[in-house]
Amino acid sequence: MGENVLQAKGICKSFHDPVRIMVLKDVTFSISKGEFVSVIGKSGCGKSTLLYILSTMDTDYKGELFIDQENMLGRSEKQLARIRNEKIGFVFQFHYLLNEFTVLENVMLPGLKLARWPEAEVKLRALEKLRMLDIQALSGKMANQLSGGEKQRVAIARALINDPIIIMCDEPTGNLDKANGLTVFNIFKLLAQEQHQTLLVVTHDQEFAKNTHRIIEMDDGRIVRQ
Amino acid sequence: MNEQTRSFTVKAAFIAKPETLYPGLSVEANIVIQSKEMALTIPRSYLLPDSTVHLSKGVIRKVKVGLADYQKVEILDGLNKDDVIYKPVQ
Amino acid sequence: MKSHLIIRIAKSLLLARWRQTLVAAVGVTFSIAMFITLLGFMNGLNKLLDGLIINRIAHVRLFKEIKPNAHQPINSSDRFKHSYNFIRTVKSESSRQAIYNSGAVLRALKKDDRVSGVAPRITAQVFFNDGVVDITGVINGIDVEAESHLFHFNEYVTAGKPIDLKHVSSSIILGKGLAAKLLANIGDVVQVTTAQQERFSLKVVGYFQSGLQEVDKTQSFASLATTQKILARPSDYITDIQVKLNDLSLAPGVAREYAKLFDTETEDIQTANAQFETGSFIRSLISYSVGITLLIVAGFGIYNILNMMIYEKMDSIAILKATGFSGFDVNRIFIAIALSIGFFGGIVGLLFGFLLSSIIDQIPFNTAALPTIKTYPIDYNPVFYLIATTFSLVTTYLAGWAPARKASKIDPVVIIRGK
Repeated sequence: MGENVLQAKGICKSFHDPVRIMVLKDVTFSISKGEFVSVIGKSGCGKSTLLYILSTMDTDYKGELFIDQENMLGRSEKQLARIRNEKIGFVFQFHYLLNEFTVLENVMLPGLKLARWPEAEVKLRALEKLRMLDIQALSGKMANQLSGGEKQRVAIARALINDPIIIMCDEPTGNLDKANGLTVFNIFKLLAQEQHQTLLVVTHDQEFAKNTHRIIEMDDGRIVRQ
Repeated sequence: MNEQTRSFTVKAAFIAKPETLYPGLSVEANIVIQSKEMALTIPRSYLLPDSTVHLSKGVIRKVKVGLADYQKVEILDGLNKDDVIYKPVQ
Repeated sequence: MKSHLIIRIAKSLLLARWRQTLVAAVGVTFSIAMFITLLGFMNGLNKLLDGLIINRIAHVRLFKEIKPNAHQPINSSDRFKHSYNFIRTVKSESSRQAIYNSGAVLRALKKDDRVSGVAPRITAQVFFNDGVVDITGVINGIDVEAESHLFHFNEYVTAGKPIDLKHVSSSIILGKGLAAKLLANIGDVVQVTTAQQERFSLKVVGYFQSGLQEVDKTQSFASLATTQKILARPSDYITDIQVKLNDLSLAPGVAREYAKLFDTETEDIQTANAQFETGSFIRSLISYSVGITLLIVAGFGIYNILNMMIYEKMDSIAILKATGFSGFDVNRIFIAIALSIGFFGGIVGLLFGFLLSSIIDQIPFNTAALPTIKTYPIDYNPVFYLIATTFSLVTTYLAGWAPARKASKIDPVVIIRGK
């Protein structure tokens, strides 16, 4: 496979509430460009916690994290926000769109924040992503008028807007019915196959995981199989 | 003498006439009634209310006072010109 | 990071909660409107009261005071100047109250750049004869045009024409109270007796009302010429010169300078009327403190609403942070929200304040003491509007500061995990 886009070296994390519990124990793995990886494990095995660390939102851990071969250690909050904006796309279990904005604006916001392209081009790109996900008809609607499946697709479009090197998903189908779940999975698969988009999906859906390139299985804060 | 205002009218003449005189000019004069050679005066503020003065070493001496105005006081008796007096602390 | 994106997000968040926004903005609007109205009204009153007294008082007054000469003649005589002279029963120098060489002094004053106007005056103590009763009074000999121009004399003349003093010989304008005591109507002739027991008949051509009853009961005005005639003085006899300066604050310095230059006594407005400034200052202080209190209350309203908004918008904040907005950006968004509430609330407040002031300005306010005032006084000083805008922005900024900080510190992981 190609170059490393994400590398975790001996990541440890513990919660101190109310007693010290190690939730991640020496997690080491890497993801190469174009891989479609799923992380599975039982509830409470630490897979979500790992995702938040990998996404740079949680900085309270031990070990080393490289994104795009850059060490994330000791970076300022502002620098990390910039890295999230530029290199990481997010899709969450709950759709987390900004209800005050239209679908199009929701997709555009990270692009406007990055300001790599002028606004008109960001808009074109956003429309293109929406078309790709077959939801261009929704672009003018307010985010809170959409169904769950539609919201999740908008969230995926938003994750794609800045051409991230990796998309991270936290139970992207966890809150969807089977049909919508399948649609979302097919979108991911398409992204992986046709655009060689690197994807890291945390899920407890065995069916979903089975169809990814690589499965990382976790149990009690450790990687037991990858 | 004008009984009502208790004042006198005095007529005076110029000894040396000024070059120009303006209408409505007034004159002001002092009348000398006594003059005294070698009188001793001290500043008024050095004199205590009961006609005493502070000499050196805290000694207080009674003096006899003559003429006085707000600035100076004539000393008739009780001091000579070589005495040292102190200003009383207020 | 482009600010217009921040403003755009702030705007969307605001509009999504427009009812709350409105409540917060109305708080600011109310306090700004009250601030403007209160200050305008208070300062209007201040100016009115100042006008009652300060406008009628010269900035610098030149006069001659009766007092003993500091340089007694004996001290300049050759024979006695080296000795100490005790002088008893010193008499004041003549009875001359006039300013020496008044014509030249007036000309010199008029040439001074700092002087905006000069008005000569003569004060004469007289008795007004009303049958067998004598009423003490004062005739002020004035230059009607100069007095009207500098001290608004014409505004206080409630009946008759002030200029008649100049055109009608041996005429007088009586204080309203004095006229009432003398039962003198316009056109009547009043008898006055001077301190020198001379009697004169003067024709009443008007009344004046200063707003100060004590003044109206004793004072009257006549032309300079009439007063000089009453006092049997030449036409250069002037006891007072009232000087109005372009800059009032220069008064003490100018007063000292003139005292030396013209060898007269001088008095300046600050020294003579310090208490009026204190009164004005306290009134301003009260209005400012009430206005600022209102703004602080409005500030708390904004603080509350922003806090609530942040609580409601936790998810949105988490999303913004997850998609690459830094804490600083989030902070700026909420500060922008607070400031726009302050700005728009403030602008509307200024408008309402102006409207409310104009309404008060229309309310009739008639009082016997203030003949020229018909409605409540309002001061439309733009400085108040400037201060109000600044204050509204500052308070809303401060009110937004803590919530915005809180928003910027929100940990997206906690929110996303917490679902």
